[in-house]
Amino acid sequence: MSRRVYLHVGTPKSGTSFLQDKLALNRAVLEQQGLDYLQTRRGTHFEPALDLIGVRWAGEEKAARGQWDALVLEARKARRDVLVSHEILAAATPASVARAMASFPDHEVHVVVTARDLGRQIPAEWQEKVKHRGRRTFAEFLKALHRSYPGDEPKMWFWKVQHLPRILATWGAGLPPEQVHLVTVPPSGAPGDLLWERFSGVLGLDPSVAYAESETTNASLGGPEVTLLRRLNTDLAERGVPRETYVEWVRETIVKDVLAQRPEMVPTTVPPRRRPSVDAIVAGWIEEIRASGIDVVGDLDDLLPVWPAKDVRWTNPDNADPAVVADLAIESLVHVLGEIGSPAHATGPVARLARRLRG
Amino acid sequence: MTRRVLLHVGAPKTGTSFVQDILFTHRAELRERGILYAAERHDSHFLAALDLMELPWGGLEREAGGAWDRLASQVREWPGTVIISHEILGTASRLQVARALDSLRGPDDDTEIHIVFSARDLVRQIPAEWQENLKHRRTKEYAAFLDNLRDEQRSAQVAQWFWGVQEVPDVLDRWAGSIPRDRVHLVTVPPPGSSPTLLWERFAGIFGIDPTEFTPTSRANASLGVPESVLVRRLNERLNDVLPNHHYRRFVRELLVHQNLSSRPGSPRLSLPEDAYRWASDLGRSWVSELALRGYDVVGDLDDLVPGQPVPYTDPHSVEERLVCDAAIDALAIMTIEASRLRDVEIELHGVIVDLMGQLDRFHGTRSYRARERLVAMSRTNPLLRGGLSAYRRLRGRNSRST
Amino acid sequence: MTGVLTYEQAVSAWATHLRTGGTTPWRVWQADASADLPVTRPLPDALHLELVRRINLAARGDTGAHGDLRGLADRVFATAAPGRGLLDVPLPWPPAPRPFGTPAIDPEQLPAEELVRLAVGVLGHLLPGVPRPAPEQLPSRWPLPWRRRFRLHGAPATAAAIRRSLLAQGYVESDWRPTHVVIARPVEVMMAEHWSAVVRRGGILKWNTTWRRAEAAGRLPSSIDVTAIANSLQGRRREPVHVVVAREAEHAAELAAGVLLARPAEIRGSGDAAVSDLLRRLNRFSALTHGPVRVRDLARTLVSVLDEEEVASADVEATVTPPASLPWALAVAATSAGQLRSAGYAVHGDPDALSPTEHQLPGTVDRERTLELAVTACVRTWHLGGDP
Repeated sequence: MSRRVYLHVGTPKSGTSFLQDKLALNRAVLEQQGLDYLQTRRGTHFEPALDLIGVRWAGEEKAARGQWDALVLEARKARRDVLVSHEILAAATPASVARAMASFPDHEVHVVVTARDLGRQIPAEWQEKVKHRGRRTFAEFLKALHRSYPGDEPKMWFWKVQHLPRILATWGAGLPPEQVHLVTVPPSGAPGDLLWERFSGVLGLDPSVAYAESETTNASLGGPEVTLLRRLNTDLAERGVPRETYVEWVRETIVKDVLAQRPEMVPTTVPPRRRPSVDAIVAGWIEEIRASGIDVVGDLDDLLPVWPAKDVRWTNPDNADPAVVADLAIESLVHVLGEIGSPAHATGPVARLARRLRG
Repeated sequence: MTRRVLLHVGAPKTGTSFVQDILFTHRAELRERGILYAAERHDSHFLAALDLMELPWGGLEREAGGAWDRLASQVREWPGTVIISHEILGTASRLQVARALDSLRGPDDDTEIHIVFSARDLVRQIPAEWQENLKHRRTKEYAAFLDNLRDEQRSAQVAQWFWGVQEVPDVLDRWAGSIPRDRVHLVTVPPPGSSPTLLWERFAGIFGIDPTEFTPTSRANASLGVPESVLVRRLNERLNDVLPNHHYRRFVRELLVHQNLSSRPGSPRLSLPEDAYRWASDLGRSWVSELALRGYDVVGDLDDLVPGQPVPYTDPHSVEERLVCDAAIDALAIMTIEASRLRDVEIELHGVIVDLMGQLDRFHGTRSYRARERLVAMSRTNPLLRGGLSAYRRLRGRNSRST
Repeated sequence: MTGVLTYEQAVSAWATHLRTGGTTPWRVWQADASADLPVTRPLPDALHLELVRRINLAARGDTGAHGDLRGLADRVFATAAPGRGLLDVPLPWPPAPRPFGTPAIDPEQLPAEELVRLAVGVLGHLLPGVPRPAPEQLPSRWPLPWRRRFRLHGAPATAAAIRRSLLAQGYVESDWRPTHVVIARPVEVMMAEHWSAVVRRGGILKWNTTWRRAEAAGRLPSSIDVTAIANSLQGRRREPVHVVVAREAEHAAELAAGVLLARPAEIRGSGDAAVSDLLRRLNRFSALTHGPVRVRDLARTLVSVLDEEEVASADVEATVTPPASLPWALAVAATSAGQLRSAGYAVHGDPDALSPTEHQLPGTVDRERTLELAVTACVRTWHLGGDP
């Protein structure tokens, strides 16, 4: 039997970071079961994936050059089955997919796509954009989504990485349907480890083994939090703030330490008037997927959006109470000021030298 | 040549920092013209004032010990004109004034002491003073501040301070009680819309210098708008007990308030609510009639001190949250950039420090030093060795005395 | 010559009365208008005059001899009240009040806060003239093998009293394999002892600010964070660690003595918060007037002056937690008690004794008491040869 390569190609915001973290924590356990989750210089498969799909990514695409081939080299050297996992692979064009397939002539290729219902994906992707310096309001984002759908050649990143039938068709081209696996993310409220159960089942992992749990959570933000971030992005963009500053202070400090810690955040949902069109899109997708005969792990009904009850009033995340946003900004300001003067700085080189000179 | 001492004792918010900035920047040229502005640092006279009045000031007073006497001795040695200027001097008590004036008079008592006081109408001073309070970490609401000022018993500390530096007839009673009237100079701040150089021209006239020769290098601090004031007040509530004073001064007062929040365009200005306007306006008028009787040298026009027409009032308590939010996000962006700039500086410093550490190691690398250091380190945990070491030190001490 | 008495004459006459030890309040004072009264310059204000009157009242109960306090009165009259407060307070006088300046206040109605402020200014002048107290001599001994070794931690004042007793019994405090005893008492008692220790070292924070800072930092100050201390000691060089928890100082002393097989210490009252309050006020000004290096020195002098007088009497109410900090104090006590219960080291006494007293009191230092101490301190300091 030939060795297998599992290509986990997305989609973003479908629990991929959670899965990747857990895989990384359990590398040794996986190896015992005959699966290599390949190592890279940065730990994740972001660079190889970026290299393969060949898109621009804030300059990182230059550093990523050659990383796909490096990963393939590792995979070929491996004596076990190998797993490649990155959600941006969902955006691959047919040409990139052909190159990926050509990279593994001696392997049995399996494509794995994890997918969550579109009702949750839309606000999640929008938030993710805002966390990456995005400035669009939710309304603008929705409008753009609507305008750019449908399309055989999606222009908008969201559809490139979330249009399930297209992704499955592109990645499954030339593969027997049973080698294409769609893993559905259970609806909210389902047991926490159900996704792992489904995903690891595809990889043929032993469910009775104890796996180390990942601690990372990618907390979602509420309307006021996203509003603050969005407006801060605009302000910082006008001031020409470099990317490193943004990552260190906004994403790693303000978002993680302040905004994600807020209690009782109201999750953002698609506004009622746009819900029917989302439902229609999903219905079309499910039909297409069912017809394709691929291996569905979980339940296609998991992909149907679950909307809040009719009597729940929709909150517009673009209309956050300015008093709450002001309060968030002040809280963040206090936190940043505290970081500047924190004792953490007293362990820095300056403090060490001062201590030494004092004797 | 007569020795002349010009003591500028206030009031705050009447262009004093702007005057002090000119005097400090040009102190060398002024010296050549026989005018002494004795200041090693820009806040020298502030420290002298803290010392004279024994005023704690967020830890700065620790640098002020002896500052007044040092200033006074420089003043006594100068044969020509001397200018001393700080706006908090206005609140000195009669005992402190007596001490100050005694210390400035020369040995022959031939010193002509002049008191200079610059004043602005009360209706503009009150909101400005509340904002000044906010910049010093206070959290009092504007309404409570106004109530405190209107309390006839002056039981709140903010009221005691405010009237101490702002009540023109009383400040001049305390400072100028023993000074001939023609040596008391009351400078009035021109009303809004006057020529921007007019105030400086008035000061320069008293100092006896050409106003066109010396010009300011920096602009006066613009005042905060209402939403910005609200932001600073809320920030204070969160930062007091957390952020040390020196960080507050550097990041909040200097960087945020002075350099950024003060200049945000379009924000509503702070004024007085209607009843407070009437009260302040009446009081201001009564001061003007009192001052008219005093016979001081008025530089400008006493009418400048009569409050102008009321302007629309924006209540800080119910200001539009949208505006506070805008200001808060601006402030956050500024602070984020500053935080990352500081991190860069630290990374740069790191290289310098690694080098210094290496030098220290080489210096400490001599054999005897290292041996001694090891001994001392061991003695910290071993009491018998510590005893031995102190015996050794005693022995060595005796030997060195006997030789 | 008779005539209408002016304000200045009346005030000058009262000042003379007070200078010679008089204690008549301004309200009942009647100047003899028949004399051609001289006017004192500069004219003292209500604050100065009333402080002298209070000093005279205190001295009357004290010595009965007033003659030598005349110099102290002059010292007060010559001292400008430091810091912020009421400025040149006039005395009430029948004709219409002045339209400007500080309103007139009946001296007996002056806020204690203001009188304390002036008294602290006076003390700042007098204390440097008092001979320095000799440093307390604790018997120090070698940690010879047959001597019992201990190291005390936690509530500073309670620990100091126990330490004194142990040293007197021949025990040795040493870092060399000691038995560690961490003294824990109700959080407000430990805070008061911590505050007292800090102001004796030159601290300037108020009682409620001390609490607010601790709350903002999210933990008790390190010297009284008993669980953190015990946790850091545990496992260090296998030295035994005991935590003693007691509501009363005497009980803490008994428990500590039990651990170390010693006789329990005799402990007097738990200290007077007003002393700490007076010290922090003095410290605030002495950094400016005498330079930061002398702050501790002057604080120590003031403490010794007050101790001699034995003003730290036991009948003073203990300081309670400021109401705003009470919920936090209760939470901290509960968390610490829980940690003590599940700790691996020996705990003696009931961990619930950490919890603060719940009360309906203002939770501040009584300013009248601070004033009383400040006045006593002025008199004592003057007798001890103040005014250098």
